[in-house]
Amino acid sequence: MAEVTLKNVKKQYDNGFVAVHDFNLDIKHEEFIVLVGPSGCGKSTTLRMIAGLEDITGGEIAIDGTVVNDMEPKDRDIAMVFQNYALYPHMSVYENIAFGLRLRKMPNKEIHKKVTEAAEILGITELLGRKPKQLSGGQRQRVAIGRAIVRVPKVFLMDEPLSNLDAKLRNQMRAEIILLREKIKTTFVYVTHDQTEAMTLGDRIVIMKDGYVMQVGTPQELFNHPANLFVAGFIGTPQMNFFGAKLRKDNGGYTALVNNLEVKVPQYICEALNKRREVPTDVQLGVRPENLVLSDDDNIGIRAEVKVTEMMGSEIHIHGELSNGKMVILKVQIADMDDLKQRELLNKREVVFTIRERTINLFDDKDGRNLAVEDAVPVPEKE
Amino acid sequence: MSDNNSNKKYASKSGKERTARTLIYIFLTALSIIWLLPFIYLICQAFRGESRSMVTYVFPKKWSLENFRILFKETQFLHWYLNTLIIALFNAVLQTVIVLSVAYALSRMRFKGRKLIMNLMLVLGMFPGFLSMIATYFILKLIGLTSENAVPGLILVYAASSGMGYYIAKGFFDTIPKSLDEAARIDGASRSRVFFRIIMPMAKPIIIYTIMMAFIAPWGDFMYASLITFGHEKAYNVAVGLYRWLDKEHINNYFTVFCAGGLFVSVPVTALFMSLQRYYVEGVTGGAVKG
Repeated sequence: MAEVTLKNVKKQYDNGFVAVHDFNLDIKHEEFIVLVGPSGCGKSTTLRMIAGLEDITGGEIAIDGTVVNDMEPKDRDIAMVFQNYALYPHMSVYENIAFGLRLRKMPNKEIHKKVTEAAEILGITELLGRKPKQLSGGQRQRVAIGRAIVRVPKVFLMDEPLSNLDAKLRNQMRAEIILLREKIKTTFVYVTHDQTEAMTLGDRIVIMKDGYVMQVGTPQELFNHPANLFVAGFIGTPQMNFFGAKLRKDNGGYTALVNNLEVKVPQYICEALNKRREVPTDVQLGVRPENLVLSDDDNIGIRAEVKVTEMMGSEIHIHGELSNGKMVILKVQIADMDDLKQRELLNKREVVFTIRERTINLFDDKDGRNLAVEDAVPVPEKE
Repeated sequence: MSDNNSNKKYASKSGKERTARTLIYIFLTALSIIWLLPFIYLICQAFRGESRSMVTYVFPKKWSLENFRILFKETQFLHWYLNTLIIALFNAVLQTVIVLSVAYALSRMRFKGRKLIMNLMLVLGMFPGFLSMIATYFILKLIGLTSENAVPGLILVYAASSGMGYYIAKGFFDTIPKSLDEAARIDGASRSRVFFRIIMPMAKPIIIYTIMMAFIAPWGDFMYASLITFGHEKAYNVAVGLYRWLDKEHINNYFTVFCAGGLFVSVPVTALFMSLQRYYVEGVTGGAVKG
């Protein structure tokens, strides 16, 4: 069993800069947690505090119930994969993988068995005699992973392990990490700035900004019900569209008015609104580009002047400008359109679209919180 | 016409350049002769057989090994040589250990006062060492490490302040990614193990550079050695010993012997330098280009 608990964890540097404010998280046994956020959001710092490479200014980190705040990295029974691989350049691949076992005074025979096993899992058996500089980026990353898995650690930490690889290799290694995870059942904490990695790998995702946790949840929760405007904008490409809307109560439910288009608010949001002491009238209505639907009737919907159209192959992205000057992005599936229709769409000067009501999210105009998500965190103001 | 014109222009420009180059080469040749002459002079004097005093010509009339015989049989030279060798070897070991440890700590660890210490050492290092000579002498005298015990005293003097020369080694360590240390620490290594098993094998050029510097400095030191030995002949190093032969009462009998001794003094340094030159260059430039 390996649970990791972070309680009110804080990191402040000597110059007064606070990298992580009050981080709370319970990581379950064998869970795959992804920390994601823009650069400088404190995700790597948090990981390094779990690893013991950074001192903790406040709070508590516990691995398996033992508080490890003052424990040396070597005593925490963790393994870590670094962005730049951090392979020992003067040692062969075999020695790189065996290093941790040698330090633990394991008999040679056992070391050999474990190293060859790990090499087999990662498909690097024929590379064992080489030096790191003779390997390609993908191979180096495999060796770095091999060095980590050979010890069977309680917690497996990965700090942007794929960001030095090219796009194709990254996809491949991502799939391999998913497979690896099934083979070595252990707790993972994975840091990335890439939302695709976060969505595909994580059981739960922690989104951070400026040292604050914005939301913790499954990929589905984050995508469908982002807790605030930041999360909504960060997850999903192209990013979510936001419309200023007026919220009004009518016979039992709510309606949001966007540029004269009436959008019926889904039942579950209405219920959440009804529980609130106060319901704001000015809200931001968020809807993803794929949920803006081209209208059959030019008189129903929101009008936008087309600025750019992008042919993505299986879909077309239309960048339009609303009458108030705001930009909006539509993602239109074109699998059912023939070439002529696709061309027509690409050459359109103006589009009229409606909103898929089921998929909307409403955010408080003032602090950016999702009105339907309980305990949502406001978007931090710039310090 | 226009072709001709441009040709002419080109020719005159190159002529100017040629004159400039010739002047530069003449200047450089003159410099190298001035630089090389003392060495040639030293070698010639060391093998001169006709007289042992200073003469006004360079090439000996009679070549002989007599000066070397005198050097080894009739003087304390071997003793001084041994003293110098002991000091240099001890210092090479001590100073290398100290410099590399200080440099590594300053490169890797973050502690209160780190910047202050670094700046302080840099500023203190700018003062010439002899400013503290008198104080050093009295301290060493108090603990009995002067005169006949000058050899350990000198080792102490050279090694004690050597941490201040951390700068180049720190620059080198700074270029080794920190994540290597961190990976090793997570793999289960203590700080010292990281230093010896991971960093040291990668730092060969800077180790060799540091060893060479630590060997050469006391090998040629005169000022501290002459003060701390304080006229105690048995404890001299080669620089002090040889220099004494240049004073009024000795120079007429010992000048060529002095030259022979000088030749011997340069042998180990030259050999060391030649054999390790490749690493030396890497060590000096490694920090700058390996970013």
